[in-house]
Amino acid sequence: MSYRADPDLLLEIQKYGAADIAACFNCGNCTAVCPLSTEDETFPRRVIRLAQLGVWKELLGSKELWTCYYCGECTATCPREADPGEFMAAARRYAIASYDRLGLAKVLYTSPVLSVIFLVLLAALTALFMYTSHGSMPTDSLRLFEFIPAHVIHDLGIAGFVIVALAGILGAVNMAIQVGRANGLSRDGVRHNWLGALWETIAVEVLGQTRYRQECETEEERPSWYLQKWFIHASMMWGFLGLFAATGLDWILDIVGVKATGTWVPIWYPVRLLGTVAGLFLLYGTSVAIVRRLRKADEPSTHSFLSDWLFLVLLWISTVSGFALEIAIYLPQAPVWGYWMLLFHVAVVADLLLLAPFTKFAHAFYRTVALYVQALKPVPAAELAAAASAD
Amino acid sequence: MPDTTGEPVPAEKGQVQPQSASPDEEPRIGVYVCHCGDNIGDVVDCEQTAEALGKLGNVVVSRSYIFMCSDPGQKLITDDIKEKGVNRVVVGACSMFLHEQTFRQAVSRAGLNPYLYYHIGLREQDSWVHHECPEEATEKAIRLMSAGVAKARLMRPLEPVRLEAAKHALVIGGGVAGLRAALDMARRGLKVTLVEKTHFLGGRTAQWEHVFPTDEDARTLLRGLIEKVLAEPNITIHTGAEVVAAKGYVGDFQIRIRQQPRGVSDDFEAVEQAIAACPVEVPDEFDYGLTTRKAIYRPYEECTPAGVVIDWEHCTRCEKCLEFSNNGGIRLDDAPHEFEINVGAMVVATGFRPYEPPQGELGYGEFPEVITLPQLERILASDGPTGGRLEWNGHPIRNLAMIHCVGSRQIEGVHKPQPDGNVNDYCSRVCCTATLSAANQIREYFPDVNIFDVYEDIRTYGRGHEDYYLQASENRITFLRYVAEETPEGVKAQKGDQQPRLGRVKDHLTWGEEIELPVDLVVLAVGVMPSPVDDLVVVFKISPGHDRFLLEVHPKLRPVETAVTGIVLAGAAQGPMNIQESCAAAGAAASKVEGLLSQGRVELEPYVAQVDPERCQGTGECVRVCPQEDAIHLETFSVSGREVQRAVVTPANCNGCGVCVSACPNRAIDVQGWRLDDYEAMVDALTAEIPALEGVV
Repeated sequence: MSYRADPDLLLEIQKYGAADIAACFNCGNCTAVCPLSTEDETFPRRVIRLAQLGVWKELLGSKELWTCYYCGECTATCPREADPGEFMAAARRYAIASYDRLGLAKVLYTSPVLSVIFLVLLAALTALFMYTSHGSMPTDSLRLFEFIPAHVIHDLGIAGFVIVALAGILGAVNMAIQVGRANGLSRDGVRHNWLGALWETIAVEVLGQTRYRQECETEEERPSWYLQKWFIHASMMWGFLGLFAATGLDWILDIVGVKATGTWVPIWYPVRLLGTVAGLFLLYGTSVAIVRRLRKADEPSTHSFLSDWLFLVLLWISTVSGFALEIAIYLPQAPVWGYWMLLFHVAVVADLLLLAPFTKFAHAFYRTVALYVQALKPVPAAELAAAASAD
Repeated sequence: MPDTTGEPVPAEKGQVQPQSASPDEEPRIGVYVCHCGDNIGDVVDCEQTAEALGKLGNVVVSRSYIFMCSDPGQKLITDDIKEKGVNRVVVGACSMFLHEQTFRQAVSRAGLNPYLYYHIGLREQDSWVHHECPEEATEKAIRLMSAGVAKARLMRPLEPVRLEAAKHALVIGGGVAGLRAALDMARRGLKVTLVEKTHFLGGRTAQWEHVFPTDEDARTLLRGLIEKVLAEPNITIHTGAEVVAAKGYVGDFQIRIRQQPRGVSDDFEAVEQAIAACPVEVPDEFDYGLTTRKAIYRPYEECTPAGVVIDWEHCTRCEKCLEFSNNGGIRLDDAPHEFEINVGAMVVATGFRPYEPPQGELGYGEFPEVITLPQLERILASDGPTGGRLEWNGHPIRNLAMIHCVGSRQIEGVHKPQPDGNVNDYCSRVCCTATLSAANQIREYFPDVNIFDVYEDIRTYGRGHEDYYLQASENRITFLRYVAEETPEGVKAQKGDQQPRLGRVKDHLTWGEEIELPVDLVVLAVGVMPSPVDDLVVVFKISPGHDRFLLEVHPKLRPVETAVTGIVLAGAAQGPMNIQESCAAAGAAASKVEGLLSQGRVELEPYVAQVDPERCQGTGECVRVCPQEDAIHLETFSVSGREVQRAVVTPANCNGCGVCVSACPNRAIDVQGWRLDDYEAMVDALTAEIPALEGVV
């Protein structure tokens, strides 16, 4: 098998960051110090080499891109200050933009101006759309869904979810095909181990953050658990998933007729409690992450691309506006700003969710796919080819 | 700082003149054992050694000291000579290459003939190699030094061989090294004759426009140097000239030179018309064959000497140019002329030629898109075949591959050998940085061009050279690494490819995968080979190394001198060098020549053959076996009215090898200072049961 060199790839990736990577002379120190790189899955050197040579297909098919959690150890040890950690992040951005066939991700990643305009416009449109069907703003108590009918938000949410799911699935399938092909994923191999690999991926790696927790805390003095990188990341993920679950449950309760959406419930009501606790996690995670990026507290927080800020800030605003809404609900007097806050909150969440496949958010499903392929332990393509030629 | 080069040093002014100690006087030997700090003292028991040697006959002083080479150490010797009447000195210390001169000078300062001194290497030959067994090392030290004492008993005062020297030097080669050496020597008052084989000065440097590490225009650098050389009244230049024969020795070489005529007078004006009229077209060596030139030509516009010349090899004498001759401006019937000069020493600065890959190596000669780095430099030159535009064979260049180590670091059995059966197994040193410099230049002037740099190793060894590598990374040059056993290959591109050529490289930066490089041009960074100098090697009896570059006598301590005294090397004739190194070597060569000739006489070591006319029977065996030319010959003498043949040595040409000594059936020849009697006495001493050893070992 031979690769065709194409120097344009590196130029393309550098639109997504990795300003210093041209300095890399392939010594391999990065791979040697990487706590996650193994004999079979070597990175970052391998991925950098693919990019330098311009082997697009191999690069986009490499699961190693996603098995890196960016601890920054490689950047700290790089003798050429080529910043391999940041290169991996840039290559992931490039990959997200490439898996998306619509081209929207590329625009959002590479053009800050268009990005902001697009986000503001989308939020404004969402708000406008909801406002056109608005009702009254009762002041005796905060009855949000008399202002905006619940079904409008629900329908909007479902429509958005379908769009997101379709775009996300398209991208993920696109990626899965490339990664699967490059890694020699066969139907037989999948059938053999699909369930175990699913557990390994979802429970151990995604929800448990096992490797991130165990391997990627590389500071000489480990900070307290609540300041460790994995916990901050997990807070955001758990928080987001908790809120997603709370919203879903609330909707199910409405469908099965236990509790109509918008009915006032006390704070200890299980679904509300789940939402509140999850929100607190999300608020903690996003706040700390933002502060770290502002302070450039460690290697991964040093280089903040527009997409990093947008993702974090949108999450944070969604969370804060959500809590504002919750406070408004439990205030003795229904404040009028509560109604406006609803409009604002839904518009921001719409930005966040509708654009998930095209922004940093997309790492959630691309990383999961890559981890799944990894957990399936496919036969490497080279071995497959060798076996085929032996037959 | 003592002289450590082991070469003859002329006596300094104001020194006590050596006394001519009579060979018959009673030897009074001073023996000194040096500890050399811990180097000898940690292994050899120096006190015991000194004590043992003190018991030998004729030894009047025997001492050991921590550092004999130090001032107090040397003072021990000079005081003993003056106060104790010591008239022979033996020092056991480091290698004679390091401090023999130091002690000779000390002995000389005390008024003794400097050749009444003998040096024993106790460090390299004893303590360093026997540090595991100190007792035996001590015994060895005693034996070695007792042999020295045995020799000292027989030593006689010697005088260096003194020769008259012409204050005139020859420089062979008008490239940057030759020009630099000529200028340096002329500025120090020597008369210099410079001969250059081609009709123009400047050599390879003139063919390069952009040179590292200063990114200057080589021709501007060269022009400055040539102007200074031309302005120097001590320098005579002959272009189109070659050395055809040489005789003599340092101080007095007779050199025969043949000069080709230019065929065109200096004031000839109708240059362009004459060139246009010439029907002959031959590959232009100045453009490394990328273009053609006429048989009446000049290499480039501002060349020195200015004006055109006739290429006699290719001129057909068709006389078309004579139409513009203006009564003798062009003279096709001029003949070469020969003349002789006398010089005291010479600098060989014959330079290099780029390696010419054989037909088919990496596609060279098969595909027009495969060229060499010197050819690329011509393409990049503003007066080159494309006027500095990066295009070749009618194509603009978008992707370019540069392959290092072509014709360098070759491996026997892997690479095709040269016609003489050798492979170029050396590193050509200059090509890595030259390649990167060209690559950076291209990336800066033509930013749309992609460059693949295919290397075995990057050796940017000099000051500022590594910056070219760093810059190349910043300039996004893609590096690939091959190993010698898997050389890259060029193949025809497939249908649909935009580039005409595909490079195939097993890239060891990509875990040995085969990488295809779609390219418009492949540039081979060819190595450096010496200019053909077989004729000079024969004429001067200097030696080439196995790499065919001319060999210095000692790579570390005497790096520009050849084994023939009076012939020194400068520049790339000796090995791959860049301009900076060539100039440094030229400066060193110039000062060596100046050191030899500035006194008007030359002093050589006295260790030359000496014939005993009483014993010589004129068999001529010595003349037959002598490897040197004109070192020994037979002369007719009249002895008691009878004509007899006797051998006579020319000391200046004798290198003291001693072959004649072993060949003489009558034991009539000895090498001064190393007579057979000396050897016998030393062997006897080495093997003797030395009474002094009792109680020591």
